[in-house]
Amino acid sequence: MPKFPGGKQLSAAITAVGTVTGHGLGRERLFAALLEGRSAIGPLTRFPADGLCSNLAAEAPADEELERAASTLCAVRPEDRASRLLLAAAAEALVGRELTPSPRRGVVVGTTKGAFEYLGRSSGSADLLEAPARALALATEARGPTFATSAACTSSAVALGEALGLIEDDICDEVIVGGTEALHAFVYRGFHALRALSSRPAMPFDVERSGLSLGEGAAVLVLESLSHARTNGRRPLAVIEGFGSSSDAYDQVAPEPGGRGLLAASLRALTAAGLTAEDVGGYHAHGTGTVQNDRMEAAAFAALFSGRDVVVSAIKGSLGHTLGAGGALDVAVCALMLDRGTVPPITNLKAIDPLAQMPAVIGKPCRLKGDRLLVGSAGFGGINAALVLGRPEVSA
Amino acid sequence: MSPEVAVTSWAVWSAGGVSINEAPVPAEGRGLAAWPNRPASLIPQRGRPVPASASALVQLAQGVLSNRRARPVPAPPTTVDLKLGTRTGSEQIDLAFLRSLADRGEAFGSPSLFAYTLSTAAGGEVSLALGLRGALSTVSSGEVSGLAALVTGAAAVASGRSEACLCGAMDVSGSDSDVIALFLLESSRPGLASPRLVGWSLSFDPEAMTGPPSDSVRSTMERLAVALAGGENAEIGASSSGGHSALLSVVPAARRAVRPRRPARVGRG
Repeated sequence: MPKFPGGKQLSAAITAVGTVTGHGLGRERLFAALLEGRSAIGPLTRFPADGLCSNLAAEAPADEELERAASTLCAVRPEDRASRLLLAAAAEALVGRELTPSPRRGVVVGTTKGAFEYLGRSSGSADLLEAPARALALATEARGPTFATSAACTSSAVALGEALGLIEDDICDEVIVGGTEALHAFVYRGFHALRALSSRPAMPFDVERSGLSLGEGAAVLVLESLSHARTNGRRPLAVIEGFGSSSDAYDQVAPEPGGRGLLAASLRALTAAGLTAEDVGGYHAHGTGTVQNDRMEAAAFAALFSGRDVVVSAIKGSLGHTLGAGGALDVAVCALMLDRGTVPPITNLKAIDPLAQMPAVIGKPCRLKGDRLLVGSAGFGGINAALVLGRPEVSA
Repeated sequence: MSPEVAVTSWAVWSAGGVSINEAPVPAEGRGLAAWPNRPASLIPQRGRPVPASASALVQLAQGVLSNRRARPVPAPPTTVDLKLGTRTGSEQIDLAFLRSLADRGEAFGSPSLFAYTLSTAAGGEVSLALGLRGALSTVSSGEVSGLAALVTGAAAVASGRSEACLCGAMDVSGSDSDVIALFLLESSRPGLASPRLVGWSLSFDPEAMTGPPSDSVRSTMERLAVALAGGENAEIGASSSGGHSALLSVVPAARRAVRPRRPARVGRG
């Protein structure tokens, strides 16, 4: 188990959030839809799905709308959709900020397929995986560390962990962290091949769920050292107190059914934060809506919280599974939950699977108990990640 | 926070062959050389074909973990993270999956092939074969991707976020820059005789680079292995065509560490 010389990891403030999802541009549209339990999952229009087991997805706005939104931030015109999604989200997160070139500003972006349009021609100045991070660095005048992380569906949760490290090590004052994923026929057909797609909109943890729905989107978060945020008069929405990650060492696709890997990542995040599960009032689930994921996650939850009434939220019934963007979108929504004290219901969840029993939020929003959330993330290859988020008043 | 990180074992596999804890053999050529006297596969049979590049990574990881050469050999770490720098990610598998869709029909893609269309899939095989339960990820930043994995891995070990990190690079696409390289980073402690990393940095400046870089992921990994084997202080720096720069400062096992000056701008090594 890693040890922190100071007993705990240094916290970092989330001072801004921008999102693009199937609900359109902007965090307010997203949070309103979540509170209402609305789903953006609908008929797929971007490519044909003939002969596939689903024709549903949560599609983000068209390229023209993304480019219009991004133009308020920068003149960068990316060739790929994942970068367009990312820059549109960044434009919201960074509105009103004066950005001059700074070696103390870093960029870390999580994605699984990145600029997939570049497949087969990775020899220019930007590579497939790295292109969105580079576009964001160009747009934000970052001169500090700039790189992409990929770790299956935990990619952007891992990006947040890397960003936390850059702030803890005093390499950066602020890190623009993103997660982005565009919907491509390639990935859609792959999930079809795995028989993981549902013919109905995803219903995480529901007894009648039958698989996941894919989505696309991006989230950008500005992570700052607490002192930098304070000096610049910025009020944190939330504070990231700890990050942990692990591998199941079990299977390339299926999660370890007992949830031991996710449990290990959660315990590492809590240790990094100098906290225990007793300090957490809410668990934000990965919640894909597959039987394997939901039951694995319920097992990890039971082992971690031992029957405590910790509210459980999840967003993939509303946004679909946005793969590499998922972790950043989860944390963006959790920052809003902590800021507003409200937990949205899990969209499309009506009756919980008896074999995935958790105190999930069903039907209508509830008040957040306590001051801290644990955010779980799990991906192919048995990769797990977890982050501890707190209200600024208790974490700073 | 410890400012130093020990490199307790390393290995490079390229067109020149496999070298473990020594300088790689310079060689021209495409792809990876054959493993000398290759032992039986470490990957358990699970009813699906594992790509050759993933098998190669497992082989090399086993070689690194079983050849820790620090003196005295420290107790094995309980949690080893795995972090690989990559430019091309899973590109070859992606193209193969696309071919399978074209050959078999859009609705009949190979599920076992699709499982490997992630840049972390090869690392996942290492986790499965060797039972590693630490963090697993790839990092990408152009030609300095491998060094970026080393820089972020070293920072994590130095700060205590990681107990040990097996980091390096994996780019296998049948080109002359193909490489798999792994370096085992552990916290440095008094009395441990092992080459060390004593400084590291990453930066980005799109105006700092003009024209194609002379470095590839392979050349940076080979230069680092040469420096570790060479017994001299060395700075391994590189810049990418996209504006990324990275720097690692290496000191040998037997000498007292002298912290090199950290340059404001990273030049080509």
